[in-house]
Amino acid sequence: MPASSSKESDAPLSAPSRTYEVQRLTQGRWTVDSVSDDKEMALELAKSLMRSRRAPSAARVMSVIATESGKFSEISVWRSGQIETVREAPAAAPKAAPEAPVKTTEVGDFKHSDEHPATPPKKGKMRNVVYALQAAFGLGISLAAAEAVYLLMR
Amino acid sequence: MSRSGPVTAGMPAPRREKRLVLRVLEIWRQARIDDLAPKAGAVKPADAGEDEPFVFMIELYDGAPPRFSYVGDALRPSGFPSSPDPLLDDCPKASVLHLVTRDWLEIVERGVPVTRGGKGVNNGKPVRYRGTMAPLVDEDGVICAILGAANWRAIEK
Repeated sequence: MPASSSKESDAPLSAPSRTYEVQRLTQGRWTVDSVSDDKEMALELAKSLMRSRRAPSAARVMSVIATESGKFSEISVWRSGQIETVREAPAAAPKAAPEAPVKTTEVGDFKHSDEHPATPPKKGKMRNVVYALQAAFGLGISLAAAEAVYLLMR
Repeated sequence: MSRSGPVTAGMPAPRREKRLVLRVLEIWRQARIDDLAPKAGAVKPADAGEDEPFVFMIELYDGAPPRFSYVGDALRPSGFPSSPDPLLDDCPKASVLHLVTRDWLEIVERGVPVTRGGKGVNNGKPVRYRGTMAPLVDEDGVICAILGAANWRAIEK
C-alpha cells in the first residue's frame, strides 16, 4: 500500500534552497534521475549514471534554486561529460548595482518596443540572375554540340 | 541479485566504487525495469554485500506511520528499539539514521533517489554524514518502500 501523505512532526525546519538534479535524456525528454544537496555528489551521480549498464544517451546536472517567491531557476552545470562554463550566482545574494539592460533576441518580452529590426539586405535577386545566365549558357553549349554532332553524322 | 557480471580469467578486476551512496544506488539502478523504480522484492539488504551493515529499508503503509523493515548493525544507534519493524518516530534523534530518514516523504513526493548529507551527532559524537534513499514500488507502480544507506566520519566540534 502506498504511503500516506502525513508529514513527520520532526521534519526539517527549512529545506535547502539549492539542490542539484541529475537528469537523463530518455526518448528525447529530460527526466530527473536523482537529487542531491551537494554539487560534487551530483556530478559523481551523473558520471556513475553514464558509466552504468543502462546509461542514457545523455545526462546533465541542473542546479535548481528555489527563490523566496516560490519560483525555481535552473542552471546547467554539467552535461554528458562536458562541464559547462556557467558560473553560479549565490541563491539570495543582493545585487550591488542594477545590471545594464541586455539586448536579447527574444521577442516575447519586447512586444511593445519601439525598435524595429533592420531590413535584411536583398541577396536573392542577383543570385537568381546568375543562375539563369548559367543555365542559358549551358543550354546553348549543349544545343551547339548537338548540332555539331548532327552535322558530322550527315 | 548480483551486483556485477561474472569475472573471467584475464579480465581486470572491476574497480570498486569508493562512495557507499554510489554503490547502493548502482544496486538500485540495476534492479530497475526500464525507467521505473525497482519492485520492493527485487532489492534486498544482502545485495549490498559488505555494505549491508550500512543499509536500511523502510516500509510505507497507507494511513500508518512508516516503519523500518531492516536496519544494518552499523546504523543502529544506542537506544534503538529492539522490537521488530520499529517506527521511524522511535529512532533516537541524535543519530545518523534519524538524520538521513527524516526526509523520507521527499522520496515519495519526488519518486527518485535523493542524497543528502551534512553535520550532525551520532551516539553523542559530532559527525559528518551522507546518506541516500531510493524508492521501491509495488505491483501497481506505487512507492511502497524505501532503500537507503548512510555512513559518516567523526569530526572535531
